Amino acid sequence: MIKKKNKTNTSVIFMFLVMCFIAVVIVVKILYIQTLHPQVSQISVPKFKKIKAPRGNIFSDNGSLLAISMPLYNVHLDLSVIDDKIFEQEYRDLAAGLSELFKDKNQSEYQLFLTNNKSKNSKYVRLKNKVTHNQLNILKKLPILALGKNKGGLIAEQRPNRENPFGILAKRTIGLLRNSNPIGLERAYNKTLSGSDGLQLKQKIGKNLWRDEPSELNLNPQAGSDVISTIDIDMQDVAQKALSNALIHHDADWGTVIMMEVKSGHVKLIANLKKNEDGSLDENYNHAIAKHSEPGSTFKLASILSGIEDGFYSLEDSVDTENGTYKFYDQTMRDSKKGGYGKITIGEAFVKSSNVGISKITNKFYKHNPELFIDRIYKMGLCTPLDLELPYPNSLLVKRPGTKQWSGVTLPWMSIGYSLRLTPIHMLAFYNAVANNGVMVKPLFTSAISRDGEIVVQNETKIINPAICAKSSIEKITPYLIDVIDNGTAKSISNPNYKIAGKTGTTLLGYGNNSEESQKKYQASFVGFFPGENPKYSCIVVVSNPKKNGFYGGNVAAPIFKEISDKVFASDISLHHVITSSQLVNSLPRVCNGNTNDISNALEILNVPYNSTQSKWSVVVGGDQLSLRVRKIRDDLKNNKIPNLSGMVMNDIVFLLENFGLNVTISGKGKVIYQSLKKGEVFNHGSLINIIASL
Amino acid sequence: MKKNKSILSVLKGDFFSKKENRIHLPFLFLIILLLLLNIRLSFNAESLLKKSIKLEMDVSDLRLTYITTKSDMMRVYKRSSVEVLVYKDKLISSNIPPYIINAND
Repeated sequence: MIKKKNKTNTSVIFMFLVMCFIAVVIVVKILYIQTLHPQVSQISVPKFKKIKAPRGNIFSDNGSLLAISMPLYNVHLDLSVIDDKIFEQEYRDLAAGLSELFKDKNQSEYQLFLTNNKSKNSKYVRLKNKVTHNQLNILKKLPILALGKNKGGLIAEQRPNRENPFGILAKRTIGLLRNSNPIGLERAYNKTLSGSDGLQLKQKIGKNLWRDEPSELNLNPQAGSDVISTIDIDMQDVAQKALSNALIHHDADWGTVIMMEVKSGHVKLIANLKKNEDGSLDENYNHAIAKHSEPGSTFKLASILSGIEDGFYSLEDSVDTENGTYKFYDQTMRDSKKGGYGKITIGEAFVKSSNVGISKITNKFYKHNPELFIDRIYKMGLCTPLDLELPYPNSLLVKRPGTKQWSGVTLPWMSIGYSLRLTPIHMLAFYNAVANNGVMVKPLFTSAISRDGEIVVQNETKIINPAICAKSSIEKITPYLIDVIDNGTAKSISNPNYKIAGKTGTTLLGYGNNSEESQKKYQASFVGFFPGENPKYSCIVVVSNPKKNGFYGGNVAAPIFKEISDKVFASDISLHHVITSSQLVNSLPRVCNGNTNDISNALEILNVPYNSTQSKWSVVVGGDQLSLRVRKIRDDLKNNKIPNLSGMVMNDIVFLLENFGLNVTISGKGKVIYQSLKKGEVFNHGSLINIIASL
Repeated sequence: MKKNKSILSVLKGDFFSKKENRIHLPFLFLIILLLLLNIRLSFNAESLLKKSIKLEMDVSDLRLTYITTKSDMMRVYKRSSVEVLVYKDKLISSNIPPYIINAND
């Protein structure tokens, strides 16, 4: 009995020991893999990983996104992993989907692309670069690709990208962040936008899964702040469109427009367009802040202000412009008008932009003391760099007396905007100072820095020069700046609704090169401010080398200014005042004919006096006072006669006519301008009448 | 022999057959229970962590969708784009300044 018992125990114990041995082997293997296996041990060791701080955004003045970090994807296909049967069944649908999504090839082209690469069993064929996240999401749902990476063969590689949602609008000013030569606000505010990267200890716990581990060395990333620019994207769009149309119309090389808010110095728009070799237009150079060139006649304002400031003359004094030519040493000064203007006032010489007139008086008073003139120019801030937020090359040039560059003709030519080089933004800052009663403010491209929607830094207006000249001098010259538009060289841009003050400029590029007339190149410009009486905005337009349809500042640059200023004036409510009831009556554009009750209600709410009528339907008659006259529409309709419907609003008519059994077809909106059945025509129940309306 | 016997006694479970050791049984069971609970909780925590990481990825994905959509919307929002859209209805930007009418005037 004892023997038997021992036998059973031994076999159980043996089995138990075997199990124990296996368990020990497993535990040892686990320990080995976790601690000693080279690959696993390396992966499982927690590592510090850099956490990239999200870059801040750049916003326009109303919060529209100008620049945002938005990754794009390079998409490739691995066709070798796709099952032949599935491919054969679904590649046509896939091709149709790809064609609809990317719109770059038609379905058959995509079919050919897919079948060709499938026959080669291509493992890494490029489908499309720069695919957006939303496009990728659609791609992932297309036939075959919906099977995933392993069976559908879709390979999407993310690449960092900084997106400008408005395309080329203010592209150079918003800027580009790149390894070599970064530009614009992206460069100027790189530190603010970048934030600071963080550090996190992480342990790998699965495929693409990392667990954060606690560590004293962990460092949270600090997201970049947002930059709020001063750009008004609506105005920018208007300017870009106006400039683009003008460059095409005049076949010009490049053009630039800048508009500033007079008091704050906020740059509301800055457009730069240059013609590419293929004729397309792109913003690839910031001419507005970086292009130094001779400003031409727009500089005459500085010359005239100098003379007034130094008390040499008043604008009512006269100057003889001779017959339009005048010789300074061996050089001849010419007016654009052949025959000249004869003897005119200095103010008229300015309005008509007489080169002879301005150069003669400047030369007369400063000839023996040109330093005085140059000092005045310096005092007006035209010779000092503007210290803009955006980096730009400084090649300012204003010749000084006593240097090699100075000659006897320098002063007269400088007085009309030659022999010196300035940027468009510099000229604008000067005119802006004139509009701002002599206070020169620094042009600002950003108004604030914000973090999580809260303003953390407010960029205050910076005064460069509290008085470029006496207020009285500005008060004297401003009417003449307005007269340039009313009666001078920019007559074409006059607007009855508001006044523009400004000056045209036409610069002969490469002056002194003695080019043939046909080879001469000009630069047209216009700089000014509006509304003339109480300026809110200043603006400069420069167009280089217009080759068609004129080349004068008044023909080429001024109309661009007008297109922008008209739209800005019509859309900026702060430029308008509440009108009184009496003004309202005079200015009421139109009151439609129609239901007497409706008309009466509207006129009473607006406090507009009118003579009423007892009739249900009225014709509105203007004059000193509005009168509602009887319109017997119902009577006509009751007698089965078509009434006169002209001037009535559509919703009244349709209701009325259909009540009397007419079939009405309508087109257009607003007041009736045409009725197919004429007044007095007899109609039957079901007769068709066609009505056309227009706003 | 004595050593063999003691191993045998452990393997046979003599430890539990002794009356004085039986009082420790509930405690041992409690330890086993706690161990099982710990394993279960660890597993649960790991699952939650994975779920959390996946949700973070989803949030990041949604953020990208939001950014991309907003960027697309900005293009449509552009004044010139709106002007093109409404042009077919014969609507154009007006250059006529507005009248401000105070209704309480």
